[in-house]
Amino acid sequence: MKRERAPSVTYNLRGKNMRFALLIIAPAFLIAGIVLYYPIINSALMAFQNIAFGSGKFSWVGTRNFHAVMRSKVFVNTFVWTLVYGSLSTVLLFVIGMYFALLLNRGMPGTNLIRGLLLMPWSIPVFVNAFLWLWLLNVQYGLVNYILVSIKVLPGPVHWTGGSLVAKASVLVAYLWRVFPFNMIVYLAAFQTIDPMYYEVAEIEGANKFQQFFRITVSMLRNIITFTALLNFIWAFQEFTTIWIMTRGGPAGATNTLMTQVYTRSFMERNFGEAAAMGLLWILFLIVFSIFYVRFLFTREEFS
Amino acid sequence: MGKKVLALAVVLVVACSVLGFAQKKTDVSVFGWLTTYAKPFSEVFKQAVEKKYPDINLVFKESIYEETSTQYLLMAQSGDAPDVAYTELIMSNELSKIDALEDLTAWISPSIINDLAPAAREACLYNGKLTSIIWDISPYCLFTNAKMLKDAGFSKPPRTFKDFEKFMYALKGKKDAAGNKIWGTNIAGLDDLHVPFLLSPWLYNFGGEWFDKNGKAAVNSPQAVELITWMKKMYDDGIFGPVPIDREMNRTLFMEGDLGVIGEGPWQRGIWRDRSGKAEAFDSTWMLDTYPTRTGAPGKSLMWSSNAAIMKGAKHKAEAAKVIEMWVADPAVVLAYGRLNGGIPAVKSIQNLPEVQNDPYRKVFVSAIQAGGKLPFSPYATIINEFSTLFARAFHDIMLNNAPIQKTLDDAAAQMDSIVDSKK
Repeated sequence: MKRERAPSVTYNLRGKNMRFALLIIAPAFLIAGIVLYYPIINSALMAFQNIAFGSGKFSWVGTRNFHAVMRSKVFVNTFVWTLVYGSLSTVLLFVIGMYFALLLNRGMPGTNLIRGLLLMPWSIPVFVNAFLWLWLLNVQYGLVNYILVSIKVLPGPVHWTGGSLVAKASVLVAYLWRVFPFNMIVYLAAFQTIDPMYYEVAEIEGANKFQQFFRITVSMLRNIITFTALLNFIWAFQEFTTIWIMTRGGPAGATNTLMTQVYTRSFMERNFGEAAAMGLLWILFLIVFSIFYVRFLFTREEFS
Repeated sequence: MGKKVLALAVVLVVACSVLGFAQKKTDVSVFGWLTTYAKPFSEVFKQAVEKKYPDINLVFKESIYEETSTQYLLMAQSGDAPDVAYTELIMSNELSKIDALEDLTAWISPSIINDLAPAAREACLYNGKLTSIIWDISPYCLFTNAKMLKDAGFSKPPRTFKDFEKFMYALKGKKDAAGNKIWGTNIAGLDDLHVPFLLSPWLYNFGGEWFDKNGKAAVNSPQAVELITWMKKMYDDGIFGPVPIDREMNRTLFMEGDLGVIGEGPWQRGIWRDRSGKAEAFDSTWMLDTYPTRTGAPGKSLMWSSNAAIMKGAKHKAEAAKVIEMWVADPAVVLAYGRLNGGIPAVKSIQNLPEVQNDPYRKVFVSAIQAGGKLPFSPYATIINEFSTLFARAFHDIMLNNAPIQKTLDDAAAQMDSIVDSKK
């Protein structure tokens, strides 16, 4: 297969058409400016300031906040865990989403009902999901412990948010449960674009199911998979509500991600300068990552 | 016909205006978490204020306790402040630092200020100004499950560390009727702030301090190491826990009979009466005493208080002052709070009333006050948030990850000193 870069498209607008185009997009830009661009620029400026919260006073401190953040063991550990959390959730969301999409694509009886049920986690509010898992995993009264102890899988109740490793697993599970329906539904929709003829030909030529899956399904859905993976990775970096409700980033900072760390540093410790510096570093990382990711992984493919 | 309609309309407009004027009340806002944990009292308070001052309509604006200090700083910056600010001492100090609070000597009657207990008055001074006023002094004490105590062979809560440990180990392996594990005690701390709150009384009674008299962090002192080692042993033996746990969940554990001992303030009686559904009948399920000590003398405590202040951005300062005066010194209001929630009045005239002096519940908290204690992280209590995050991390690292106790506390102390130095 010949691998090429995705084509770029340009439009030439002049005069009246240009003015009309600007008029159409102006409201969106204005709103985006207020709720997005201004806060981003303001936050970037805050990263170079020492702010006395409540008094409105600040002073410029150059790159001091960045030095403090980069030297901080807590930030480094948090960044590493955020990367691990993002990568692990991306891979698992692909696996789980693809599994259920393949299952639903079989067209077995009750598919519509099952699809509706599987979509439910995605449709409930994030904080409801977080509280749901908080209670399911409650060490004393949680259903998970009750069931697992009753059927003798566990000798006794486990404090699912009370140990570094189990807490990490718990917040990951809660997150995956909420987000996998998105991947599932995207892949399921994408399957409909694959001509069944490819599978028929592959079967005639002796390809087994695994080969068909990787050589046809994954290959043809490469861009969709790449795109959803990028989204999953970015969303994982942005995850806050589930982690904050379940563990507050603990225990001992084990489940702290960049998002919870920025929140703690700003609203708990009132160090807005360092929090802004963390946020800026994190955004820069995501931008650079996304650029390279899209540049090297998105393709236009030709099949012969 | 048209003239008649016009005349009727004029009469109606005039009547409405007169009635509206006659009934004109000033909305005086009280911002804070009072309605969250003392809802019955807030209703009594509102009725009392509006009866005495018919031109005041008391409006409670609820806040989440953990978010309140940030909210106040935002209000100070924006200039959009409530009339009465329900604060704690640390919040008041933070707001005083940015000159966001009125000097209450200009607003509160001198007779009330002079009636304040000296310690209560001193605690609220910031650079010589009375920037807030205590309406309730609330030390922490230990609530113990009465049935568990009796089953373990105790007639009253243990007063020494030795007896306390004996009681804890008597609970080892026990389960409730539903088969849930029964825990001995813990330091609830899903929110980092609660770890030092709840650890402070233990630390003080072990002879430790957060900072020594030279202002150096002392969380790695031999006494602190002894305390944490003791707790770690109980944790490893399955008695101390669960760790970490949300403070509300911890209160529920105790209420359900799954926790032997919990450290809380005087407000807790009212919370359990409300949430258990058993009202005053729930009181018989627990016994109250000060923290244990080496000798059995009444234990020191975390010295906490509930304060009221008037922010500079408040719109109705004179009315706010009237509300605060009642909150602090009106016997009907203060005694109502005591009956519903416990707590120690801040003014001497009410402290000396037989109802307070003879109240067995409040007597325990008074003996904790008399034994002594202070705010966590004194004298750097305003840096509590950063210290709490740091210390909670160290504490959980020790408990959950078996981090070496001395080294972890040494690191925590060094970081705390570094934070103090950076603020100078």
